Amino acid sequence: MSKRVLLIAAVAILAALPLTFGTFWINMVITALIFSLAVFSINLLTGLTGLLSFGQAGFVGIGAYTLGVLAKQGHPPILAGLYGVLLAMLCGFLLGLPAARLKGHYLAIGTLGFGILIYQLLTNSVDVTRGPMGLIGIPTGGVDKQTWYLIMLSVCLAMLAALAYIDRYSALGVILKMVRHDEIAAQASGINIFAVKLIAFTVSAGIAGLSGALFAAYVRFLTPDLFNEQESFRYMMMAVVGGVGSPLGGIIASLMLTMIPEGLRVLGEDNYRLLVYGTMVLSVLWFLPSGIGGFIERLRK
Amino acid sequence: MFAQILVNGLVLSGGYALVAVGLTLTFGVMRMVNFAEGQSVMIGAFVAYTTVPYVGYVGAIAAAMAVNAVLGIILERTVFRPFRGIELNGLIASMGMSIVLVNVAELVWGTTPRPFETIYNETSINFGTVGISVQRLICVAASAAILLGLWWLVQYTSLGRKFRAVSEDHETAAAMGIDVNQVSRLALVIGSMMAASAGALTGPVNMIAPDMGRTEMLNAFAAIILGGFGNVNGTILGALLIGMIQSLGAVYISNAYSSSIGFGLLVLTLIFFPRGLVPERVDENV
Repeated sequence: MSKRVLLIAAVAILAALPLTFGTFWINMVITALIFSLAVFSINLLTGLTGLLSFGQAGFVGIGAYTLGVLAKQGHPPILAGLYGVLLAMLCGFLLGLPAARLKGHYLAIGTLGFGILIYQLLTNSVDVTRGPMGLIGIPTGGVDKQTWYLIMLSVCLAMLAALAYIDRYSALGVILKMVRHDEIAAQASGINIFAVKLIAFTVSAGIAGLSGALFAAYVRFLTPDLFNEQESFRYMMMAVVGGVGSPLGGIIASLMLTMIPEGLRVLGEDNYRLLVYGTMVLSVLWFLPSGIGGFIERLRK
Repeated sequence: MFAQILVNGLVLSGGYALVAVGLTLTFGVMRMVNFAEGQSVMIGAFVAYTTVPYVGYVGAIAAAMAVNAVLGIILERTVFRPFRGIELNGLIASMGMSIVLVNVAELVWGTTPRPFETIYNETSINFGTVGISVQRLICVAASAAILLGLWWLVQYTSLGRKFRAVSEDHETAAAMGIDVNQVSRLALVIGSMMAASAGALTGPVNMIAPDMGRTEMLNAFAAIILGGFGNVNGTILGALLIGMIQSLGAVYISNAYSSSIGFGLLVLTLIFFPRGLVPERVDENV
């Protein structure tokens, strides 16, 4: 009972917090929460199923550009976002067909290759995406930052709850973890590994696509560089710093790795900010090998 | 025309092969992918660029290799040894380190790409109707010589035998009295030095910039996938294939897409040959 009260209090505090923030910081928190959705997509893929993906930014880009292009053609933004998620899922499915047969490093580099192809496509199909000139003025304005924060908070909390539920209580969670720990044993128990991996790829791509659609709707300005392989690496870093098996750790890591470097903008030079970023990633890995999520687990015990 | 495409292709292939073989060697020994290898290329190119006015081109290549040997030792201690057995963390740590290296380089040398001039860039030798710069020829010859040297080292020296033993089986090698830490460190040092030579050799042909490591590394990955992880000969073959196809593609298809050719090839290979063109031997444990 007291646990539930604590939880409600925590949510209330989280919902009220933005009222005290300035525009700069609330902006940061919203962007970090949007990134954390892409990190969730990695938690699902790597944390639950043990599949690596270095091409998540590709799916994020598909979601973002679908919303951007369709909304600019006059489609209602919510419908356009839905198309974005569906298209990302379709691409996830198609990538999954060959990728589900790949192992370890081949999978990592193969997905990296997919991400780069999507990036090249976004850069080079100038007629549709306007290429490096960027897609400007996506008509999704009119929602203020406080509302955006509440939307993102509820999406993230819902995603956390869903992942926790799948992880702890559902048959799907058991199957995913079996595939992760021992494929051969899972196969012997009658699990169709190929199908499970395909589902994991599709759903993960959908979540990444959602992250992209929300990003496009919020920022309303897209360039292909926002979805290159460096971004895929960044999502992967956030996921590992958060602890791949821990979605909560993932949120904390994306907040930390977005806000602390941004807070250091006062240092002037952009390079110092990124130096801090790289050093933070390294130090978390040195001192907390199982990430922030592992640290939270240890505190709880 | 043909000679030009051939030499350009060989220049590209040589650079990719040096980086890719370094990567594949460290992967074989440590079972970890070094995502900072591209930055070793960049550091090598810039060290050579900075030292060339004082010590000449050959001296500059040596200086780049010496600095990168030290970098290799640092990488092994900070990024790989702490994470042996936790592959994903080692991989992410090398990404973190690569961000640090790029930004240090940008602070030191600035972000704008700059030409790396050597005396060999201006002189050229005529083959029939086309002139090819001496720099490009040096590039091809030196890459071939270094790769041959590495092949000799791996096949015929006691260090090479240790590399092969550790690649085959970590624990058995350790049980036989091989110092796995030392072998890993040497693999990284050699890999870094090869990356440095790639930077110092191909830098004068292209422009150099702190973010040049990105494309270098991505193409090296493509070569490694084509050749099979941990397989040195296959990797050289993969690098040749990618360099040649890119050189042909840049002339006959389009320049905008020439960088995606490597990856198109990579994705196709993975669809039809999930373990690369020359598969590595992997025992599946039941």
